Amino acid sequence: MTTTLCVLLPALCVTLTAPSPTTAGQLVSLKVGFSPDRLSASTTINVGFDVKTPTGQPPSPLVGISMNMPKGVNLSTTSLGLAVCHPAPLEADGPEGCSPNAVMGHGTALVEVPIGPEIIHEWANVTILMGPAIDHHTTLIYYADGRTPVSAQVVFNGLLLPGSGPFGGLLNTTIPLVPSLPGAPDAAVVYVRTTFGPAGLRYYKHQHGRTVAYKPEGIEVPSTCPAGGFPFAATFSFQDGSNASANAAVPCPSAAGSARSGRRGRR
Amino acid sequence: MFKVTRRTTHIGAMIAGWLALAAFWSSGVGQATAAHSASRSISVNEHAQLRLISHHAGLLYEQGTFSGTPGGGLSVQIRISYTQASISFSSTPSGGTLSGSGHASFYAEGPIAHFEGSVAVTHGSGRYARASAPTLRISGLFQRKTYAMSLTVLGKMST
Repeated sequence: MTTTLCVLLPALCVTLTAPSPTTAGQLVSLKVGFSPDRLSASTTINVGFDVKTPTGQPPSPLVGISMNMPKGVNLSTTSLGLAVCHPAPLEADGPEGCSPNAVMGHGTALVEVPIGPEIIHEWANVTILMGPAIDHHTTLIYYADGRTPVSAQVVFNGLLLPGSGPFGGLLNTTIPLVPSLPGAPDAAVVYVRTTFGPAGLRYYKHQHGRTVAYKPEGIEVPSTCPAGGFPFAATFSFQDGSNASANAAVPCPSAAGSARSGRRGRR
Repeated sequence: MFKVTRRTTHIGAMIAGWLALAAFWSSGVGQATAAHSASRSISVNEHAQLRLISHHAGLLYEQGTFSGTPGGGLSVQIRISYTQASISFSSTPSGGTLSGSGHASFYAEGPIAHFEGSVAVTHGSGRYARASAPTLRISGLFQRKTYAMSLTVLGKMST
């Protein structure tokens, strides 16, 4: 069952999916949106998900996400990620160790760790960067930075693979296990919200001997919208061996929104 | 005066006709027409630098010039979707035209995007009217900022 909310922001429509139970009890929901949500617009993709258990206990740690993305959403022809960020400087210095022109998005994540009867929560900032290609695949590199109560910085990759059916691409991300405290289980991700696109980004270029800041181009939304909206689907893999799937769609923009957007022409 | 003019015109037309026929026979087209089975195979080894003409919704339209064999002007359309690129091209080598299409895998790495795959010649004209090249390897890259592209096409083509 899908519920569409278009009331958060005028330009941001978000689709929520009903939680999908897994054999081991993880419940996942996927949230996607375009900002702005207009046909042919240069946009930022908002992707988020929640992981729960029926008992309220922390879920099994997340170890992988396969995210199917809709056809026609041109991730590959954006000007996002014009520099490559290598893991070594990222691990050593964080995102500051890489060019700002490598940053493709930001986000936040919440992890839980059960310590005895208590559940410890920790927020982490997430930065998404263009990484070095792996096996001739466009590769995103994620940097998650949690500070308190446990300082942990995690670097992991997502590979862009071919999609099938209504999907144009598959972003396959492997998430490492994050140890928490001695004797305690690994940290479990329960909440993630990310933006993938130019919102909040600032790139730099040399122009006439000066360094000039600019906002990179976003991801181009197709000029037509498929029935039912732009589909996303994700499969989540957990440490306990279980999987859970969730679907979501970015609703087709209203006719008024589409008319306003027009078409992008020759640059 | 009128008759002279007519005769001059007639003679001029004959000369033009002979020249055209001579040019026809000296070209590969004439040879191919004379002996259908005498097709020849040429090694295609082309390099091109292309510049962006237009870009919309993942479709790049680029133009440039082939340097190599058979050479000539080149127009390329590349439609990119995530990891795949579909390619169509038309070129204008000396004495004819060639066009075709194909597919390539695609990935981006920082400022550079790469593609690699194969294209087939599906149509030719002039001296390339009988051109056939079911599998030519194509590879290239473009600057993601400017879309300035370089590409290489390699393989065998029968004409």
